[in-house]
Amino acid sequence: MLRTLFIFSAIGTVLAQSDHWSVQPLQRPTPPAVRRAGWVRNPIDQFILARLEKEGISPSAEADRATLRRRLHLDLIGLPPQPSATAMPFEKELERLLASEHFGEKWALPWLDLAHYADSDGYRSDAFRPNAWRWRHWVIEAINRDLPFDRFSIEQIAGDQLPRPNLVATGFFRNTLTNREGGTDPEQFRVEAVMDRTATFSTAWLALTTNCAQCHDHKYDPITQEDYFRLYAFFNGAEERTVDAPLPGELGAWLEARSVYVAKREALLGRYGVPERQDIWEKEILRTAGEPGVRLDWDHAFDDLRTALPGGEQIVRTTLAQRDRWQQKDLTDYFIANYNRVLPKEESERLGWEALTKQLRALDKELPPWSEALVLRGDAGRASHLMERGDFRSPGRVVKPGTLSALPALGVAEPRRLDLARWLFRRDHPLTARVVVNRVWQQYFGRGLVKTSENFGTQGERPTHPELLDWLAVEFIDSGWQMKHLHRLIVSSATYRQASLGRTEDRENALLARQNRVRLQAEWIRDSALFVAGLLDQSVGGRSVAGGHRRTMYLRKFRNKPAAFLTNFDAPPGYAPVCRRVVSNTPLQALNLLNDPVFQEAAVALARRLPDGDFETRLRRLYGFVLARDASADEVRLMSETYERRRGQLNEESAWALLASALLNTDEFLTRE
Amino acid sequence: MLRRAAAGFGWLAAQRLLAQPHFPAKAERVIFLYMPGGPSQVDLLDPKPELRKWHGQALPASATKDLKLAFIKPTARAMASPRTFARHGESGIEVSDWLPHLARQADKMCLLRAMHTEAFNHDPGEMMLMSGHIQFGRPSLGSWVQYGLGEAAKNLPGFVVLTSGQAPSAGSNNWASGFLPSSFQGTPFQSTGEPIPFLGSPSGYDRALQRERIDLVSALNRHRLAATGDAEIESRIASYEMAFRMQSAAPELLDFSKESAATLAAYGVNQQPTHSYAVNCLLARRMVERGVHFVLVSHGSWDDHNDLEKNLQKNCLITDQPAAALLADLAARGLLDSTLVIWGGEFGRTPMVQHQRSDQGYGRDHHPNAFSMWMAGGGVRAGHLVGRSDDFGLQGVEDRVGVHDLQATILHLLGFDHLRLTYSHQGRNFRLTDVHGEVVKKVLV
Repeated sequence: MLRTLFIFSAIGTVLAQSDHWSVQPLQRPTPPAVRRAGWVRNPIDQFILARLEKEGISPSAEADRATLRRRLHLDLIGLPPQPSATAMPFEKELERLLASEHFGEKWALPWLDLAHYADSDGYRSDAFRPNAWRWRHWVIEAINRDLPFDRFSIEQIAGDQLPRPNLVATGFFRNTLTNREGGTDPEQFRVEAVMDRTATFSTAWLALTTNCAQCHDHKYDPITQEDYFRLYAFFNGAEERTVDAPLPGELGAWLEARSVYVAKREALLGRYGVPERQDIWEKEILRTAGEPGVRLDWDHAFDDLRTALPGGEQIVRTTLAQRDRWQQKDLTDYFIANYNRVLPKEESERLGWEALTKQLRALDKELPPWSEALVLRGDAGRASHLMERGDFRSPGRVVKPGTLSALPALGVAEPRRLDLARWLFRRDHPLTARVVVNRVWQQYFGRGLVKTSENFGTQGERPTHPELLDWLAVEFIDSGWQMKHLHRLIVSSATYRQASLGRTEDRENALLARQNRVRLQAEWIRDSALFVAGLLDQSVGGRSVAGGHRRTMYLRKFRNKPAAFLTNFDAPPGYAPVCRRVVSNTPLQALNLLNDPVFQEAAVALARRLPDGDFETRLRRLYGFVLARDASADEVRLMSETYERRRGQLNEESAWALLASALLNTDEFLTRE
Repeated sequence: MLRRAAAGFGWLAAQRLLAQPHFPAKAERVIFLYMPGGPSQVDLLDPKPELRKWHGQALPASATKDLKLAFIKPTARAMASPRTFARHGESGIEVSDWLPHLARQADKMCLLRAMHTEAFNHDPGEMMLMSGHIQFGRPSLGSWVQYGLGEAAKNLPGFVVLTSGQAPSAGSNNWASGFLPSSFQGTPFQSTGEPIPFLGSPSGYDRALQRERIDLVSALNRHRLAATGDAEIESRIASYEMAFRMQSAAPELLDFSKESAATLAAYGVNQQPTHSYAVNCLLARRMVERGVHFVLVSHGSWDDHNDLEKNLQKNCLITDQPAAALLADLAARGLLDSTLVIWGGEFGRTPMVQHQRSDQGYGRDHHPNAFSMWMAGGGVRAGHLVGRSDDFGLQGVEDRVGVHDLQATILHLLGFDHLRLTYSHQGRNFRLTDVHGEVVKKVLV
């Protein structure tokens, strides 16, 4: 059977010395000479053009100004440009957009996909996670201040182990699922989360799939089962915690209100007799833990505590004095909500704790906003075992933390997560920079130089332009891992600025003789519709919201109940890392854009935005808003025919809303040319 | 030619990607009567008279030593079923008195009594049954079927989901497309109100105005198509036409006015407590008549840890009559021969008692080792038993059928070799049955 354990021996070592392209040392190639030197804007173009010239293909002309401007805005900030009176030079506009706070939102999204961010637990309960946003907020802010990618990464992988700790950043690894289903073995789901972290780490930074190695030696790539569990061991010791993470300005007001809050809460709890009852309940829970099978009510109560409240058993086993503020509050809140499990119905009704719960909730609202973050911290010194067939119930021999044998050795005796993080950015590491520049390239061209951006292993595709990939990787490292430098470089190239239209000889367009047409991601479609209608709330960062007109990335995202709009337009639900979204084109998308009230609202708002004037003036303005270009004569004719046919039945605003809605439904609106 | 590069993954392109059937199909479509939560086979489909001798006592340790259960210990007391079982039809299949209508259809069923699965909790169990893997993220059974069979319905999605009662625990993961293109995911239909999200035109848009809007969009898109030559735009124009047809086909589907009074009565439409499940069963028939390939009809929850007597009876009263009427109706219309009907949940329930709350009645725990499901219709041996569990119903002892075997068999009936229906993702060829599964020959005609 395939799942039977392979013998470790040969596979790992043989491939470790393999000539697979992605593990070769990184060197900066010299940009090749080209005949049409006048087309070249920067070295990127030399690599692209040299290849095209070899094939006898000429590159495309630069896209027209309006197309280029719309492309630049959508790519950098995820919103289309608005009509402006004065034309800004390309370079100046680029700098303005790189400095925009929306840049951080646009470029946080692919990172959120990799971390598989959502605002809920997943699994059966799929409970809301009120604090997940805090890590997202940090990502947006870090990208906006151009935190170099090495630091950006190290803080997320091991921010807790830095001399100046950054706990919030470790929230990257808190986007794992939490199972609160009764009867589950908490260890099983702790192990699942560690496996998820291992897989997410290797996908995000190494573009290697390690999951298969969990049960057996990876069939094709230089990853043995031993390798896998060595990597796993880095994450196995870390504990999940919630910590204070106030935003600037929150602290003062909160401290002021806090002492009053504590006094009021304690008085309330005292009035309902909570502390005494909780004390007895905790003792009984501990007794039950020691004698399972005697009292079924209590068995079930204990079981629920272990699963429904993460770390619940551990809190009960910690003395009151040693519990931190969250632990005690979490446990008390849990106790109040679940005490009735071990009480006859009449008695729990007599307690009147429903009223207490209401008052406690009201009291919580008296506190000014206070941000907390989900983080990963410390090392519990938990030994890691190789698990037979990946089953947590079959621990094999102990495995020490270490990296993959096909990659440079760590050279540290007792490595921690921080060593793993720093190892990624050693000058002799062949993967990290290649993986990252390829992923940025993918966003700008719709596909990476390595098409399988999630897989740099032997089962992935080879790069179309290996020398360009290496040149970009070295340039990126030498710049000090400055992301905005990389963005500027790509966007300034003649390759990026080419037209996307009218050439059909090479459908895959792997050689980039033109730009690609790229359908916008779900989030940018809704954002753009609201934005061109003048409805978008443009505030940046902060908590997730349940509705309204904020950017789509801030809408509360439940893993099991994603908004129909997001599902229709291929946003991943957040169960696993995704670095290349599927792009589908379905009738459900058509229904969505035609009939979703949000898009109808946008169409009506657009109609109201139009200035007074004759048909053509108004139509040109509409095209300016929605497509950031002028209407052609044919388009004016098509639109005016519909308008003339309908203006008798519809009032002026509804007739224009019809035209606006049609434009919002066009393929062009959904596409970055 | 498969194309899913920069310009996107077109709906038409997705249709072109479909696998070709590997051999002639016995069934052309599937109706899965999904019973999430774990229906109690001991009380419904797998009589265990031996339990009466052990009622109230722990079962022999030799029989229970390897059991891994969710809540109770293997030493929990046995609980004999209070139900009476009788033989039905020519096949003489024994069915409990709580399924009187289905009992009359016994000669149409192939009853599997030694089903087993790897998972003993709901989410992983549902995922095993519906995607072949305990974790989320793989394509669902219905999506694989779509991937294999492609779009047949001209006016409706090919994979539709109908739910009543409590939704399955793992929610939409039961019909997700995983790494398959999203056009293969199940489309949930609501039986009341708007059946698909955004199906209804905005207020003020009658059918003529909607048509005019779509015509204008298509004219603008054709204009763009001429400028770009990008076939993705053709796909988009086609998808708007399909959307428009769906807008009228879906309400027509929900309109039962042309169904006879006898049919409505047979299903239990407009009767209680059957109404909502009856509507879904009748809709399932109307959908397969209109070319839908896979209808998932879910009713939950059967997770009777407490008060089993009361809850199980309630679910039987809701589902028995409509499910039986569906089988009879499909047969009467000549559709059963080409339609595969499957009944069951992610696992069964223990022969031992669970009593977790003193103020509630007895129940049973999750039981993954030996539970029952039935299949009927296209290519399935009718009036037949496959598999036997031991005298206590703890383990399968003859013709055990794992979830992957069931999946391999379903694909086989649809004309696909489960080993060859694969999709390449992240450097691996994935299939529904993971690295397992064998077609259960005894199920086949």
